[in-house]
Amino acid sequence: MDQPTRFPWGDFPDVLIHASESLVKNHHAYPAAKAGGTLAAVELIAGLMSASVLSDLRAYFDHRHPRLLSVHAEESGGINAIPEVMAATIAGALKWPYERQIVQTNVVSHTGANGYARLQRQAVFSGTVAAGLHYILVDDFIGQGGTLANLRGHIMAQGSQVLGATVLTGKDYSATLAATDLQLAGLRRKHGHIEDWWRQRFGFGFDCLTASEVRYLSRTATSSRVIERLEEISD
Amino acid sequence: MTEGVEQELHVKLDTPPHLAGKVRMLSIEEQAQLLATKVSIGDYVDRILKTKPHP
Repeated sequence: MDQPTRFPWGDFPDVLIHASESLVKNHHAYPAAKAGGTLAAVELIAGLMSASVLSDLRAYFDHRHPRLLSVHAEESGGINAIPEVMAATIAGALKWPYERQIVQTNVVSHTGANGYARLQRQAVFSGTVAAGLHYILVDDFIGQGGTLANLRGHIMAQGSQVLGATVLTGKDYSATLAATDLQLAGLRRKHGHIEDWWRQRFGFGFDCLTASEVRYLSRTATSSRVIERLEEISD
Repeated sequence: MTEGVEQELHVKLDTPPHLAGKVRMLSIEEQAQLLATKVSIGDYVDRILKTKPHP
């Protein structure tokens, strides 16, 4: 598969999460929305989108005139309709434009996959945007954050900025995408000697990993085990 | 679509059954279809948002 593009995180703000995983995944419309049912996705978003998160989005970003951009992808169960419905709904609520020229070009089957499968099978995107614009990314779920990292890279590589991101659901600890200097130093102490190997394989260094990815890799006892676990995952 | 009638929009790709759900790159045709579904979902939501509630 193609390599993704990523950039270091700088002071990227925490992802704004609308609802708990239990609320989303137990919602009667969730399975149909996840499999391409657009009316079901509308029902899901109308029921679970948070007014306070919308208010935060407006407060933090409105003055920078952002555009919304969803992760639009084919998944194991079909096209996930939730992110685009969410982007269009937020756009309607906040009077922001939304981008419709970017799609994910691979199927990665991240749902239910472990961290190494998510690292090995990275989402890649196609589609052009004009340079000099500001974007807010939208997805239905944040796990390790790799998909948002790669969509951000796709936009930044074309000369636009990504100001932030919002998702329907995910765990609170996944919301922070930028790893701390301390976390990165810990990862490099443990696995720094394979960072060049990592860069060759994935196209970016450890400074472009998300905080969740850094934590995940840091928990692996040895660098040879990191390589083994990745090699075990078929493309 | 019919005015005033709630209708589902189900988006999907014309993927051969043996490839459905498999980890892979989408073909150029599938990528074009996926892009078209993105536009159709946006149009669908825009239409809902612009529809006045029933009295």
